[in-house]
Amino acid sequence: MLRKEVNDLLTQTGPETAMGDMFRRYWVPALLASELPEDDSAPVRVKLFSERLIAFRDSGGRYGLMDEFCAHRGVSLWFGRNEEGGLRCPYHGWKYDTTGQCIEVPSEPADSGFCEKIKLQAYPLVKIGDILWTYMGPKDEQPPYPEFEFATVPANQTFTSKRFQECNWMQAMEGGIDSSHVSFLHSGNLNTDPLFKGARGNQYNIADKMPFFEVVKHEGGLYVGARRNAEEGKYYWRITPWVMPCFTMVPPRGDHPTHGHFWIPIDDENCWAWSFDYHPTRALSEVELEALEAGKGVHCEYVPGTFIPKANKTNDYEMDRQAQREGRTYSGVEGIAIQDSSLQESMGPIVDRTKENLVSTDNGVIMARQMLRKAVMALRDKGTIPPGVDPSHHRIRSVSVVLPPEQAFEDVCREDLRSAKGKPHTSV
Amino acid sequence: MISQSSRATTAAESRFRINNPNSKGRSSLVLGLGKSSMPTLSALSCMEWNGARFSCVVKGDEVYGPATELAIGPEDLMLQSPNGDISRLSDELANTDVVIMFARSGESAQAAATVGGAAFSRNLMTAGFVLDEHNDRQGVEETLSALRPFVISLVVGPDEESFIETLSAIRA
Repeated sequence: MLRKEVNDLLTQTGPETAMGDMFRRYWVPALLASELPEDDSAPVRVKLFSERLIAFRDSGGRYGLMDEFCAHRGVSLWFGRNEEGGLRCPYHGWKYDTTGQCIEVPSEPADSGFCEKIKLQAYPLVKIGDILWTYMGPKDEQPPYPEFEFATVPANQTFTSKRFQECNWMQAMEGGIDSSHVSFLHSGNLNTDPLFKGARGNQYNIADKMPFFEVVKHEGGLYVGARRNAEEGKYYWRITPWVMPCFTMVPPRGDHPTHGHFWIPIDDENCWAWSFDYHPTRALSEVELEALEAGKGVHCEYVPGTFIPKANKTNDYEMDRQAQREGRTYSGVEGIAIQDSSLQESMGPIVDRTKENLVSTDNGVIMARQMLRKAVMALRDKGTIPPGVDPSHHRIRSVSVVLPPEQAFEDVCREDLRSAKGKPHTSV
Repeated sequence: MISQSSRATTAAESRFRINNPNSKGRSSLVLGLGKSSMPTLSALSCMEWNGARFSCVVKGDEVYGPATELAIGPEDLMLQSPNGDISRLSDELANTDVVIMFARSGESAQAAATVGGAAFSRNLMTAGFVLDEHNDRQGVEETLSALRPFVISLVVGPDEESFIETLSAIRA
C-alpha cells in the first residue's frame, strides 16, 4: 500500500515535477541508434517525460534532440528537411542545428543577427551501444556517460529492442523487481523459449513456486535475491539488481544471453519498455539473433513499421483461452514481454496503490519505492545527487548460483555481481 | 469494434472501480528479537497502525514482577510489550496472521529459530527486518544468518524510517 501523495510523487515525471527532476539527472535511452541510420536520415518524433521532441542526425553525423516545434509558428519539425548541416522547417525555411540553435531565417537579412536570438530547447544525444542516450537535466550537473555492460560490450555480443507500453513507468518497472511472478506468469516459457530452455536453474524455478526473498541495498539501488530449494539442502539463488531509477537485469540461465530492461516514461500514462540481451564473453549465435529478432525471450513482435507490440490492448493481446487451459501459457497470452505488459496495462494508466495488499515477498518493490521517494526528496530539498547517476553504479550484473545454506549471496557473489570486461558470468 | 482491453484500461474507466475495502485487517505481530530493540519498538507502538502489536523477546532475568511467575515451555519464549506487559509467544501467535521479526545488525537473533519454527508450524507468514544504521557488514551478516532459515522475506534497511514504511506498506 502506498499513500496517494507518494504515488503521485513517484508516478508524475513531467517538467517541474519532483520525480521528473530526478529522472532528468540520469542519462536515459531516447531512441534506438537504428532509428537514425545515416546522416541526413528522416527526423524522428520522440516524447520523453511529457516533452515533445524531435531527433535527427545531421550531414556531419552529429545527433540532435530538441523541441519538436519550430520557434516561428509552431510547426512540427517532423516535416522538416534534414539537409546541409541542419533541420529546416518546410513552412518558411527556418533552419536549426543539432544544438537547437537557429542558423537561418531566410526572410531576414543574414547580418541582422535575428536568428542568433532563436534557440530551441535541446538536449545532448550520444550513441553508446545500440542506443542513443540523452540527458535532460541541468547542464552543469551532466554526469559522465552510462557504463552499463550490455551497452559497452562489442556490437556482436548484444541486442536491444524497445516496445511501447501503455501504462505508467513505475508499474511496469515494478514487474522487473518482482521475480516471484516468474514461477507463475512465465512458467509456460521456461522450457520452450529458445532463449531460456535447457538451463538447470529452470527446474528449480518450476519445482519451487514459493521462493524466499532477501533484499539488500547497494550503492546504486538494490539486490533482490530469490532463494529456492536445490539439491542436497542447497539453495538456488537468483539475484536481480535494480539500479535507480529504472534499470533491472534478469538473472541468467545457463549459457544463454542475459537480459534486462529500462522503463522510461513517455508521459505519465505511457512508457518505453527497453529490453536487451547480451553475453559478456561471446558473440551472440545466429540462432540466438534469429530468436531475438523474431521477438522471443523478453522481446516481442511488432505491428509492422512501429514499436507497438503485435499483441496489444486493441486485440486483447491475442488471448488464447485454450492455451491457458492446456497450460501452454499460464495466462493465455503468448510471449514473456506481452504476458507482462498485458497485466501491467490492465491495472489502468496509473495504478491506484492505495488499494494494494502487499505481502512480505513484495519487499523488493517496497524497498525500491522507499529508495525512490527518499532520493526524490533529497534532490528536491538538499540537491543531493541520487544513486544510480554515478557510472560506477552501472557496472553491475545479475547472477544465478547454487550456494550452501549458510552462505550469504551478497558476500559470496560480491565479485560476480560486478561487471568486468571479459569476465564470465555466474549462471546456472 | 473496440476491444475489451482498450475500453477497460482508460483513465475514465478507472473511475468505476469499486471503492469498498478489498481486504480485512490482518493481525501483525512485530517482534524484536532482543531487548535492545525495545526503544525502536516502543517508539513505533505510539504511532497509528492497523492493529499491529509490538513486543520484544526477553529472558526471565530481564524483567521484574509477574514475568518470573510465567511458565515458559522449551519451545516457547517470553515476550514483553513496550508498556511492560508480559506474555508467551505461543499465546501471541494464536491470533496472529503475520510475524515480522526485527533485529539490529550484530544483534543476536537466535530467538528467530523458535519464533520461525512456531510460525511455520502454524502456517503464518514471516518476514525479517535487519536495521543496519552503521553499515556494519559483518554484524549484518551474523544477524542475517540467524534469521535466513526462518523468514520468507528478509530485508536490510538503513534506518527506522524504512522499517516504518515497510510496515505501512503491508498494512501492519
